Order: sequence, then C-alpha cells, then structure tokens
Amino acid sequence: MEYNGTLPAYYNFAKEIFLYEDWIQNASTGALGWNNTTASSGTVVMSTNVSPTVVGNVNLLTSTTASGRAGIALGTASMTFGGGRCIITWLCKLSRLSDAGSAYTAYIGYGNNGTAPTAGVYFSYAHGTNGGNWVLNATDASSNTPTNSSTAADTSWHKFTIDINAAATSAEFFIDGVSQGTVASNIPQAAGATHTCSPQCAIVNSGAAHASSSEMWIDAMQMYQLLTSQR
Amino acid sequence: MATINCLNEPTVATGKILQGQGVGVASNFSTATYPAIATGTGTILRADGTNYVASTATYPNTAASADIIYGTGSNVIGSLAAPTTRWQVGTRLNYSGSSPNWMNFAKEIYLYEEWINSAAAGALGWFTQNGGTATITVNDVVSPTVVGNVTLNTGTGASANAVVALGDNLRPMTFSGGRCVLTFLAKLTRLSTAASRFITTIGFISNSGLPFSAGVYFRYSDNANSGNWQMLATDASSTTTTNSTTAADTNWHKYTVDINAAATTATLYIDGVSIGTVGTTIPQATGTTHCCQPGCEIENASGTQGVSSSISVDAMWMYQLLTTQR
Repeated sequence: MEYNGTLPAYYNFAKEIFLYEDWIQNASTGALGWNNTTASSGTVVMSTNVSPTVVGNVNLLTSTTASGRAGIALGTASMTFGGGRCIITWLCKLSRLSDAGSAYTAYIGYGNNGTAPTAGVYFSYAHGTNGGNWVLNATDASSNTPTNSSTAADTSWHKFTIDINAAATSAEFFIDGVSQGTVASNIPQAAGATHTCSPQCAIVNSGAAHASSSEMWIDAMQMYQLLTSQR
Repeated sequence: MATINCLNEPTVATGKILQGQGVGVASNFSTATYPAIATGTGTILRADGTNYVASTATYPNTAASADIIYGTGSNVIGSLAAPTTRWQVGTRLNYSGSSPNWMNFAKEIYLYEEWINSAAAGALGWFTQNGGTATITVNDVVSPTVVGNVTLNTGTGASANAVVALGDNLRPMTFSGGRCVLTFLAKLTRLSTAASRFITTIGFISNSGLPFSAGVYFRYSDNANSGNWQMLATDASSTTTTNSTTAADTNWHKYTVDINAAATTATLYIDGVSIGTVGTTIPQATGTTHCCQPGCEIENASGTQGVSSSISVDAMWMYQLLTTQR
C-alpha cells in the first residue's frame, strides 16, 4: 500500500512510477543505472564522505579547468510531462559556494544534457545570478522561464523537491519542504528531443580557469509519478 | 383499526431492549442484551456472539481524510495520518520496527536484492572479487524456492577467496545514525574440515578479504568455536568476538544483524532466533577504518585444500531508520 498524494492505495505499476536511489554501491551507476556526463576534467566519483547519517553518496566534481563539468542523469531524454503528477526530490549538498574566482552553476532537477538544460525543470544556482539565491526554472525547446526565489544557496544538505502537476501547467519548487515558488510555463510536455529530459543534477564551471574545484554531493533521489491514465 | 405496539410484560431479563417487530405486530424485547451504561471513553458496542457488550479496545472519535486505522497500543485503536511532505507522495506503508508509517526516504533507507539477474552485480550493483582459484557464479542452485542466486566458490587454491559486497573499499556505511537491520539468505554447500578448511563471513564487512578493518558480521570455520557461529564487531581493526552455541550447517538460513540506533549493541539472529549480542567495537565514526558495507565472503585457509567450498546467497535486504531526518 502506498500514498498516492490523495489517499492510501495499492500500488499499480500500470499507473505509477516509483524510483529510489541511495548510492550505497561501489559505482556511481547506483541501483538505477545512472549515466555520468563529464567534460573538461570534470569527474563523477563515489564518495568516501560517509557518516552515520550519510550512507553512501556520489560526488560531482568540476575540477579547476575552464568549463569543467560533471553531471549524473537517468538517460537524457526519458521523460516529458503532462501525463500525470510527478514529484522528484534530490538530497544534495554543495561543497562550496560559487565566487568570482571559482564561479560555477549548479543544476538540480530534470535536465537533458549535463549542463544548462534545453529541456527540463530544475533549480539553478550561480553566485552572480539572483544575488546567489536559488532560481526556479522550466525550459522547453530552449525557451526558459526563470523565477527567482529568495532562498540563498549554502553548503548544507538540503532536500530539493519539484512537484509538477498532472497537466504540467504548474511546477512548485520546495527546499526542505518549504515552497520556493511556482513556474507555470515552458514545462516540457511534448514528444521529441527538444522537449524531453530526465532526472539530472550537474555542476558546471564558468569558462575560465578556477582557483578551486567545486563539488555537488548527492546522497539520495526519489521520484514518483502518478499517471493520469493507466498505461 | 387497533394497533398493538407494546408487549404487556411487567418484567424482562436485564439488558434487553424493546424493539419494534413490524407494523401491526406487537413490540418485543431483544434476544441480545445491551449494557445499561457507557463506561470507558472510546469503547464501542461489539457483538460477542450472543450479546452486545462494550469493546475492550477504544476507538478514536474523529478521522481525517486518508487516515489509516491501526492498533497504536494494547487495546487502543488509533490512526496514522497521511504524509504531509511532498517527498512522501508515492511512498509505501511500511513497518519501522515499532509502528506502521509512510516511508520517508529522508529518514529511511531500504535495500533489497534477489539476484534474479545474469550477473552477480544484481539489481543493486554489487562489487565482486575472486582471487586465486575462486570463482563467482549465478543461478547455479535455482529451484522452485530459490529464485535467482549468487554463489561464491573458493576452488582448492590456498587462501583463494571470493566476495560480494556493496562498495568494496568505498565502504558506504558506518553506524550510530539509526537502527540498522540487515538480513542475508544464504547457504553453505559444505562444512569446513581440516582437509578442506575455509572461513566465511556474512553481514557488514569492509574489505575484499580477511582481516576486516570494520564490520559487524557472522563468522564460521570448523577450527573456531567448535564449528559454531561467531559474532564479531570490528572497528579500526579492533575486534570483539562473541561465541554462539549454534552450529553451522548446510541448510538455507536467514542471517540477520540488528544494530541499535546508538550502535552500542548488535544482536545477531539465525532464522529469527537470537544467537547473541556484541556490545563493543561497533563501527560508528567517519573514515575508512570505521566504514563498511553489506557483504559476504568466503576464503580458503592457507595451503591447498582438498575440495572447493562455497556459499550461495539467495537474497538480501537492509533497512535503516535514521534517528534524525537527513
């Protein structure tokens, strides 16, 4: 029995999709078969930053190389929206904040390319954008609707949740369960490469050599979709 | 037309109540008795097969949409509210060790492996390693009740070993963050003897071969504790060993390690029966010398052995209830 967002119900795989990853493994592919996306000396590694409350985690490292980047994703084009309410939560931590000497952008949510998504729904952070506060994004066919939040990025563990409604007319963003705002346009919902994405996190250096490598640590991910029509 | 609507009876047995019998039919007293007073807040009327009596259990007066009703204590019926966090939408009802709850991935970790795959990596991506003459096979002991398995075979080579573990030297776990319960369903194909001696370990282990630097695990060899299972906790290569009185055999068993929330005690079970407890050197700090992972290992003793030994593993599951939400 599970909770479908409204009522207790018996799980129906023809109508529900449930994904859970905790990265308690030897490899970043985890239990779900994650893809790594890296460029310009960026790397994806399993972390040894284990503690009693952090049980296995994967690290995305940019390196100090210009445009160095690292991402992890479940494919690049496995999903589009509008078929039913879809909720994803990432449990993530930034190792340091972006600054002028080592500027980067972090993306958490859905994306399609290991860098700034051309299709996706995601949080983004860069120190020079929105005063270093998180930005809420929906991007479809490279058309982006950004909404500024008033929550500053920090280096603590947080739960980043995106709740896309059944018709994909609204996506509400949460950090640690607290709503950050809503985006109501450019939520991908058509077939075709320019409209499809997948669960993805990425961290991308700006186009200059950096004093420090930047990292995103990911402890766990969970996604649930309740399809409107049984498949 | 005259209507007779009441029984002309001056006395009646205690607890019976007057009931209509139908239009035009004289009323009569019920066969069943009812209590005269309502004591015990929250009790309800319940048929006992003959009469109606107040229930022993108490029930709530109100319920919210999507509440689940269950026994919250002895003779107390209470409710479990629907989850309020978005990340609990889609999660299942599970048992946390004390009560039903809606699974919360921010506070609970659940791993399950059946090895119904073509590779020992299984669904969870297990690390495997075999050294010397050792080999690792899958689906070699399948039967109507063994659905997929992985088998670690030593071969006959000296010190040959095989391991299946979630993490190898990355060692993704340490304890004291919350109660952690791990069960392997495993079977030895033969017992260790002087002529073909092996050592096997089951539970949380840290390395691809003995000695482990960290872990909480079962250990068996014929020349230790008279061939009975031993319980070990190892932290930074310091080990506490407790002997059980349970002899190893070649049947399928469920080997469970239950580490309490503070990691001050670990109780080990075979088929649900406690075989003892270890209370010291349970790893609970950060750093590779304190970290480990679910795994099984088998290795030959030094010197060439007469025959190969093996351990088959059918399934594994692990559950951790974090004390503090991550």
